[in-house]
Amino acid sequence: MTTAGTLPPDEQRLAVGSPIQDTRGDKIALACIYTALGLFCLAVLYPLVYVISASVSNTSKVSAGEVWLWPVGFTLDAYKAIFDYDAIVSSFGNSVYYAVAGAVVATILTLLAAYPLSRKGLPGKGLIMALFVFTMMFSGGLIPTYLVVDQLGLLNTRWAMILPTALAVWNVIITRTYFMVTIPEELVEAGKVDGCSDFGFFWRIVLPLSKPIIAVNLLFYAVAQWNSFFNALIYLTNEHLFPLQVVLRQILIQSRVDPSQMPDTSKLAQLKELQQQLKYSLIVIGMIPPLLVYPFVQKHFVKGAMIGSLKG
Amino acid sequence: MTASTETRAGDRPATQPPAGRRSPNGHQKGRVKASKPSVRLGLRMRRNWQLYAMLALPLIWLAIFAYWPMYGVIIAFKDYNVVSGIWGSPWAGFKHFDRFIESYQFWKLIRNTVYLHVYELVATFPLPIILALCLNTIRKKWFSRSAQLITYAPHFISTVVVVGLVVVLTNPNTGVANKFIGLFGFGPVDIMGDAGMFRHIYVWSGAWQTMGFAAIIYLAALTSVPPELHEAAIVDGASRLRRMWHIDLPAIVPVAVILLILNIGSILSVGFEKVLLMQNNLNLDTAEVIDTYVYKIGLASAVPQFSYATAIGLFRSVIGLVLLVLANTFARRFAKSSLW
Amino acid sequence: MRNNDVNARAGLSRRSLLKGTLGVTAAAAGGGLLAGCSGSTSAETGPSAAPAAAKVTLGTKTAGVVYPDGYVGPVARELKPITTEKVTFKIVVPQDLTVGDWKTNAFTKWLEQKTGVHIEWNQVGGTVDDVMTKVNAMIAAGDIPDAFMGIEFTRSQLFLYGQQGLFTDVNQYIDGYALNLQQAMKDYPDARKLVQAPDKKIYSFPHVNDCYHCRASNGRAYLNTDWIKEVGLDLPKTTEEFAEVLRAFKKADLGGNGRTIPFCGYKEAPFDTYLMNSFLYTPGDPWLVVNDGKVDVTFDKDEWREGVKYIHGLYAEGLINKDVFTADQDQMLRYGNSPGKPIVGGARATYWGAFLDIDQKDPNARWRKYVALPPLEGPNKVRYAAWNYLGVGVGVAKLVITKKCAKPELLVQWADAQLELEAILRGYSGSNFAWAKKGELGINGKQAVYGYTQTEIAEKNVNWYQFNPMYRSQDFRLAERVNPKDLTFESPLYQQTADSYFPHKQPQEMQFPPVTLDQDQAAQEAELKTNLTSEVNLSFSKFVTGQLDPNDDAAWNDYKDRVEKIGVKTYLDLEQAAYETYNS
Repeated sequence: MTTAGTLPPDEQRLAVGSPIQDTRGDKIALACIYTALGLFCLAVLYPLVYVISASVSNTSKVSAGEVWLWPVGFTLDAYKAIFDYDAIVSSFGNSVYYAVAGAVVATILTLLAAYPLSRKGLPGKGLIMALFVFTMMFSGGLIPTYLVVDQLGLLNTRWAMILPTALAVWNVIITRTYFMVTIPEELVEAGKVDGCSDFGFFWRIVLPLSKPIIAVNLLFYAVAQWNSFFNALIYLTNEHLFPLQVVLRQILIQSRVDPSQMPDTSKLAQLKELQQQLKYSLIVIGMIPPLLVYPFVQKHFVKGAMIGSLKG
Repeated sequence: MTASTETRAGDRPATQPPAGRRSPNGHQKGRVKASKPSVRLGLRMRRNWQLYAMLALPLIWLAIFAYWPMYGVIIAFKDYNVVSGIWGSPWAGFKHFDRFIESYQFWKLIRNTVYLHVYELVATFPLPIILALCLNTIRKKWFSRSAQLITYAPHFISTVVVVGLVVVLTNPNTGVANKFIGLFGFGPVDIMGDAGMFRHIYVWSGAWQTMGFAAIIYLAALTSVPPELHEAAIVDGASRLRRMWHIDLPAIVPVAVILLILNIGSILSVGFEKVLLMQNNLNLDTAEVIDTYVYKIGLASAVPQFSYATAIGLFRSVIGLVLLVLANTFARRFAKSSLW
Repeated sequence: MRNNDVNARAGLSRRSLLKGTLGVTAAAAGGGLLAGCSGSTSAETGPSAAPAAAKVTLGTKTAGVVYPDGYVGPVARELKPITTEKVTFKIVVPQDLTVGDWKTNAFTKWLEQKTGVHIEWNQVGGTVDDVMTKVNAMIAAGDIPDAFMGIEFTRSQLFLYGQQGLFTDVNQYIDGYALNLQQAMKDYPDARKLVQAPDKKIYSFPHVNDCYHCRASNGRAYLNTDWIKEVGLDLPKTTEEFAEVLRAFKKADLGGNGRTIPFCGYKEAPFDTYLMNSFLYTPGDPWLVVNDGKVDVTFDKDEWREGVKYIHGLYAEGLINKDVFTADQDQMLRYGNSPGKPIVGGARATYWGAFLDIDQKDPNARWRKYVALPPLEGPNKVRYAAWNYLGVGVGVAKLVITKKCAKPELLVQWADAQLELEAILRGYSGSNFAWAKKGELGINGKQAVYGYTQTEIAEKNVNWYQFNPMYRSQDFRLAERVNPKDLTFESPLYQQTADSYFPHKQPQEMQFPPVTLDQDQAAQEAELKTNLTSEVNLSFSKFVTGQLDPNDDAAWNDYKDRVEKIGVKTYLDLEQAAYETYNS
């Protein structure tokens, strides 16, 4: 399939450790890549800087459109205000909890599903796959799902945040595809010859080889939990269990009510002030944990990570 | 040399027998693998019991949280109201489907949704792949890592804020976009009020927001490329771009094909919240999509329209499933990669 | 895909209804003024006025509270315990940042201490439609509390669920247990008609929040008085003069550097409701009016077209901001709050806060320069302020008692206790209020009854933020003391509404009332209304911005054909039927 793949093994070894020299064409290509990436980063950085600047600026300067890039009228009031609301502080803790617990549970389920489905020749695999894929297209809808969660006694518990979303078929399919690429059938056969059971092979060979995809799964599930609000709205009625996004949603969307329908202008004015004050600081707070986590995921995206672990 | 180094990235398709050779209930009619002739199904199932055991938990989950509630689709065929319940509400046949299909805006909705989705797919699908390849190829680790982190971050900015920023940038009086076209002697124009511009703004602002996040999956796939391949290719004198094309890209293709198939299955869905936020009275000709329409029906309705919404959802699912199966068949034949 | 799955669900959630939600209130007599309110009767009515069935009595009036002459509204009384034994009710409420935890809320504690009724709260988070989604799911699951409070059921929903036996008819308890409500319904004689379902039952505990200025919200516009002086003109009285003033603004470029926006609008505030009323009476979306008992729409009339031509003229001359249909609320504020000089000559806005930051302390704050502009007289002498007689004032659904509640009469009494004056004040502001002294004046210039001691963002966790039943009559609302040192915007808002809009209100019979629909009608209406609203908004915007030419007969006839094709006739038949049910 690839030219490189057909190289004889000894030639490959030869290359190891030899100094890599860029050709002129390579240098030009690299320069282009650096420039393009740099420009794109700048374009992406702008909204980030804007949001951070707005969060530490005087709210009236923000609403007057005076903040373009850097903070105007520096103040940390917006962050202090966050701590005035018990709901925000406790919701932050809840979100972290749901993200971590949800990611762990979901990743385990995903790996358990994806590995067998990646093995060729497993009888019934096609049917099982179809069962999974079908649920991506058809769902029972809100009310019946709610009824199920209710009948399982999960309503208003932390489990309601974790179990109904404990598996995303999308992730299963991606993980399965990854396994198919990285765990060749020859390796499985070799394991069999060594007397490895399927459990043992999965535990001792597959998992260590799959750190990147495990990291990606943890990240994707954690992020999905972190960004989700809908299950909380539907399954929880105890504000001490609410995640941050529910609060954020109130600030960002609830305050967008049609003012002409608002029987109380002073309430409207209050809402507006609350929104202006908290909007950006809440977004910043909501962005910090995912950004902190990313480097831990990222370190697994090293070329040849899996080779190293197998050799070691 | 270990087994894995011999694996060529991208040879995965060979690992799967064509699903068409099986009957729907999973009985194996043909032979699975040339190396294992005449092993009976029962025996092979017993041999693989540990794999089935692993599948048990996910399947139980699937049964409870995905299949159990699925009886709810009959809401689409009833005049459902919450007090009478799913079983107690009167049957309505295909009334709600007819209502949707005969609806004044039906074709406009389908057209807008499909255009928007396809445009988004075509325009933005390759971008994370290119980004991942670029990030993967540069050797300055600090640069690659910071670029990854920066491009990943916008995923966490709320849609409300992103749309707000787009409005600022396109403002006819103060927006950067208008200042820019002003340099060429155009404008100022109200870009957000131009129905023709809606799709471009939606798609490209989406690319800008989600490209970095979407690249993660490809970055993970790229880790399966053994460095030896690159080293050998360098010895052969392959340029950087050639190596990207011949070594890195094939490692990504299987994942990309799968993502593409899944994406085609959701052709009648688009990012609801963002479309709604970007809508205004002037761009409704292009910006009204199925999701926003259902939302507005709900908003305008004095009594919740569960049945109607479920019927529209079901309509969408059926179309999606048909396309998904087609795409999968197509992919199996031509890309040698498929869902099942 | 995962993402799309989420989208689909979110779509579902929003399908919940909240039609006109916040405005599901309705008011009584002419001009929102109380009918039949003579003198001091209100304060004196007690059990004697109620039928003999009365099982409870009102407490004695609190001493030291001063009421203006002719005051009609809630009265401060001693609140008596409703029950001696411990009772607990389970109530579902919206979660709210200001209310905080309902359990620890100061007003919760105060009310429990006064009434002896303990509440177990279930808090539902999210936006108004999120909440309704959750509530519908609860009902579907049979997971029903004793009552819903602050959940915005529509009239049609109350009727539908009420008929099915889910919601309790409050009517049977009013006479015996709700003496404050009884009084309120006497003060607002149309109240019964507005809160009862077509089967003459009342499926929620009614409330009154008679917001005077809200009655003119849709038709309000503002103009910069400083600028008018600078260009040497008067406040415009006709559409011609208005265009004149805007032209003068533009010519003088008072914003500087060509940044002047003579008149400004944004997408969240419908732009037709102010200027169109110089051509025909039109209340805004869904543009329904009643002419001699016949329900009609305004958007396909020739007068409408004349109005569109006029607005198009303004737009074409550059007198209205280019992005009038696309600017969002934030953009509007950026225009209004422009650093240095103002750049906005006027705006179509509900109140100042929609385009300006309101600084209540500064007597020279920018918002004070903008004054509410009375409706303009059109070429055919038409001059209306679309006055909301029925959509503001008496409302439904603040408290809905369900069939689960074993002792509805206790919850009715508990709700009624919240119609007492001190409870209203505490429910709204916690303990940040004081009784007014004799001689202190209210918003309407009469003797004040009470005053708030804090006008900024209220403390958290001390009030219920108006999620509960209340009796905020017009007199009550206007009896808020105005502190001369700390001017709120409430006083000018009232004054300008009374002076500029009230005199031009349309006759009450022309307003289409809040009707109740059955399930089939509602389904049909939702579809028609959605399509009509889209078409009318789209075409109005296109005509104004010139994408369609309002002077071109073909374009106009095409538009009328489209409206016809969507089914405006069916729509009107449906609304006519609902209107007749309402009146029967």
